[in-house]
Amino acid sequence: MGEFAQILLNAAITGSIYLLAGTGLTLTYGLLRFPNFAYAEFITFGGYIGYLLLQKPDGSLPLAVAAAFFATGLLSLFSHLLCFRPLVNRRASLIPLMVASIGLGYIIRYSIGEMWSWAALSYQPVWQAFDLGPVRVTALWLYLIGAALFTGIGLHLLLTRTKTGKAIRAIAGNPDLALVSGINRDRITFFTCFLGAGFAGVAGVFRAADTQLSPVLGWDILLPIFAVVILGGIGSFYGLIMAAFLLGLAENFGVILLQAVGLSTEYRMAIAFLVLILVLIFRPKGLAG
Amino acid sequence: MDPLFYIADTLVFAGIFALLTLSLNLEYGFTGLGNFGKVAFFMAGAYTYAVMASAHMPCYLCLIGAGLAAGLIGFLITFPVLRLREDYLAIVTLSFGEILRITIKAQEGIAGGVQGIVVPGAFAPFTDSVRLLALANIGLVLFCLLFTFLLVQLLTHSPYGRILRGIREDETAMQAIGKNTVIYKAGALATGSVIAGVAGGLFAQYISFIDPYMFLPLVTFFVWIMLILGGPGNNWGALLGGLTVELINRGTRIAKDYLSLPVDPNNLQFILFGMLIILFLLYRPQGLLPEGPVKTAARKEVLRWRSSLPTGS
Amino acid sequence: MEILVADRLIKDFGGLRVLNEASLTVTEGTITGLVGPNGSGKTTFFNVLYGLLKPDGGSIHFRGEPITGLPPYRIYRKGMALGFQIPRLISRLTVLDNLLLAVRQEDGTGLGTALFARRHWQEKEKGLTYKAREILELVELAPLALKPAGELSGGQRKLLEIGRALMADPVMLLLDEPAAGVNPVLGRKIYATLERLQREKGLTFLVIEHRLEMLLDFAHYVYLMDAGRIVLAGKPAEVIAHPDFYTIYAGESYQWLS
Ligand SMILES: Nc1ncnc2c1ncn2[C@@H]1O[C@H](COP(=O)(O)OP(=O)(O)O)[C@@H](O)[C@H]1O
Ligand SMILES: [Mg+2]
Repeated sequence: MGEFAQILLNAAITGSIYLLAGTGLTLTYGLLRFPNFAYAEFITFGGYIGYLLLQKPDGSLPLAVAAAFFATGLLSLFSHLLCFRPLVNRRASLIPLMVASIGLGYIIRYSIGEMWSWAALSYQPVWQAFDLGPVRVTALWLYLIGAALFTGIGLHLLLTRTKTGKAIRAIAGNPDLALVSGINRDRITFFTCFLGAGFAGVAGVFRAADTQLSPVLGWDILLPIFAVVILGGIGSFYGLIMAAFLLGLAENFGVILLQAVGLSTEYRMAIAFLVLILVLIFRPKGLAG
Repeated sequence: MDPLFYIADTLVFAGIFALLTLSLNLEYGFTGLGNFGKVAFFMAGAYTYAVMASAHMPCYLCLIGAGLAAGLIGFLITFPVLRLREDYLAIVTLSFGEILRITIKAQEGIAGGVQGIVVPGAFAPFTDSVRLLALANIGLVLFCLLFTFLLVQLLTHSPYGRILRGIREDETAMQAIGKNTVIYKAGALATGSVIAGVAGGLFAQYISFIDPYMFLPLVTFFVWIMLILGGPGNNWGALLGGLTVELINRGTRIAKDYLSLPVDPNNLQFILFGMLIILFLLYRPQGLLPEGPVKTAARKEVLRWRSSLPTGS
Repeated sequence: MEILVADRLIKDFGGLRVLNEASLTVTEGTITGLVGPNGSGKTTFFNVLYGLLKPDGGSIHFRGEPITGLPPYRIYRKGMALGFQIPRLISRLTVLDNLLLAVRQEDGTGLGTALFARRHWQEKEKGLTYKAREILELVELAPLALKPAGELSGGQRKLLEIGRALMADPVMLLLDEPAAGVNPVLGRKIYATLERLQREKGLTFLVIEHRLEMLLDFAHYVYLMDAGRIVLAGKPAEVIAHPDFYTIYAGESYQWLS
């Protein structure tokens, strides 16, 4: 019973990270119609911004989260203005855009490596741990789940209640229609680039706080994040919420299963890959499609 | 270090990467398929070679095995997503590049696991001279490169290659004129993977020891820069790109060893490569050597009769 | 003899029924028109007939064989060819290459034959250039044979699209507004050419045309489509004289009628 609850908690933690990290990817994928591989580095970048504030034991997590959100959002906005928008204006097709996003990722990753070195770093604050019923939790995890909940509800309100949010959904659903109905595409795109990458930066802070910080932090979780985005259905935020927690469950139960049959838990990543392949074969439009 | 050996070593690596670039050219340059997991097929070839060579099979058999194994894997991995939009192929290949490395790393029993595996050299039994060995390796790699170059060149200047280029631009249009595009895409990816597998085999044979850490996504990135720089859709461009980027990479390593710079040359190199790839995509998407027309007998024939037309332009 | 029979085809886009039990029959060796106002579902009808879209109901027979749901490349191999409303040429390849792509030969188009039967297909290609030349002269593009298709003007692209459909030696062609976007004189010339091909080679045409008057002299039979249904059928002169014809086109200004 206790073990089961622990797995559920772990699934919620994994799912929360995926949700935060995948939000921007799925929204910009829906808007701009290409997968931005530099999201891996947006996540990492957020982690390092967080490090600026959390390298001392008395650093403030909320402050780090806010800083990571804004800094990463700005980074994404700049990269959109300097790289992706000019490419789109030159009618670059899908694959050149993806290649450019990989190039951008390398620029960011190696700049981070140059500034902070390639050695792994750790956040200094120690997170208070306590028993919650049968499971042991840390304050960090509660903050993380709280942040994911906040994001989920906040984005739901944004997408359904505001004009901007409705426009995002309209464009993601039908790009041509949006042009006709006179939505200011550029403004919507800037806003989404900023917001989405901001959440990815926050994911980076939590990921770094939970594990370790290194220039490949984001790259290491890019595969499950893509699996989640595709399982949820590209551009669908609600699909993403479901998919993030489903993959969280699959991974955490899968790890138990792997241990039971005597396989290395390094295969955890293979679970995401398996999910990805199965979705593409049987339901390529994802849960939402 | 022996300068002659150094030059030889550079040539061997440039040759191996040129092979990979040619294979990506067939897939992306001509067919428009975004393979972002090139390293996986390279790795599959390297490990197949290693395992076969450890079982004392002759070099040429191991190379064939490396190509076939990689080709088969390439076919199996990509076939399920060839009917879908092109970004799905990109994501699946990218992911597969990670998975293969993780699998070998995690599994002690497979080809040395994380410890790596020693690969018997093909020429080691015949000579002890480092220079002779290097020369023999250059010969082998250049032979494979020449063979592959001719193969890709012939393939892309044929009705088959014409169809690949058509698919790159408009798959639906090609279906409307009778082409089963999925089969063509599968063929291009399988052929590309065979070439990448042979490159992997050559690599394993040459460096005589491989471990999973040699097959990072970086390899894929290198191949993409080489192709984007050289010129997608131009096989000479693929060779040029391969050589240029390999030389830059060598230069960086020399700089790292002999110069003291305020920044790490290796970091700087990748930052610059990242910028270079974006700048090329923006300002010179056709690369250094742009794509030429499909050269077949038909073109020559038309050139002949066109000159006799009254309104010939 | 009927060559193409479409029976009660249905196609839905989301909640919208774009084809509503639309049926039509084309007799071999004739020019048949499919006319109707913009948005009435003509292009969708073609897409379903040619396998580019799967129908949600109904059946299609071509030369007596069922072809419902077959992919376009298989329908093409059975002797049908399609010219798109908006030309879909391979713009980085030459005009010549665009024609050669459409050839229904198997020489050199496979991985193996491309490499190992080189002499053979090179010889065949030489021969094919003469056929290509014939077609290019027909559509008046011969001097541009080695130009990239992307550099052609709109009208030339339209002509090449028709030429490409002819290159496959089809028995039947579906042409979506072949004369749209070219000047009226050339438009009539295109139809005159189609008529000649029909007379001399016995080809069958199913042609979409927005303006029925274009077909008066050329078509043997026309179907009038409105809101996804076939509402009228008959000789062009009969259809144009039918009172319903006015109501259907009422939304559009048809000065030539008055
Ligand atoms: N892919 C599609 N998705 C949704 N609606 C479509 C699609 N294609 C066509 N339609 C709709 O179907 C109707 C018929 O279109 P079409 O067949 O192009 O008409 P026509 O060729 O007669 O002008 C139009 O209302 C059009 O908006
Ligand atoms: Mg139409």
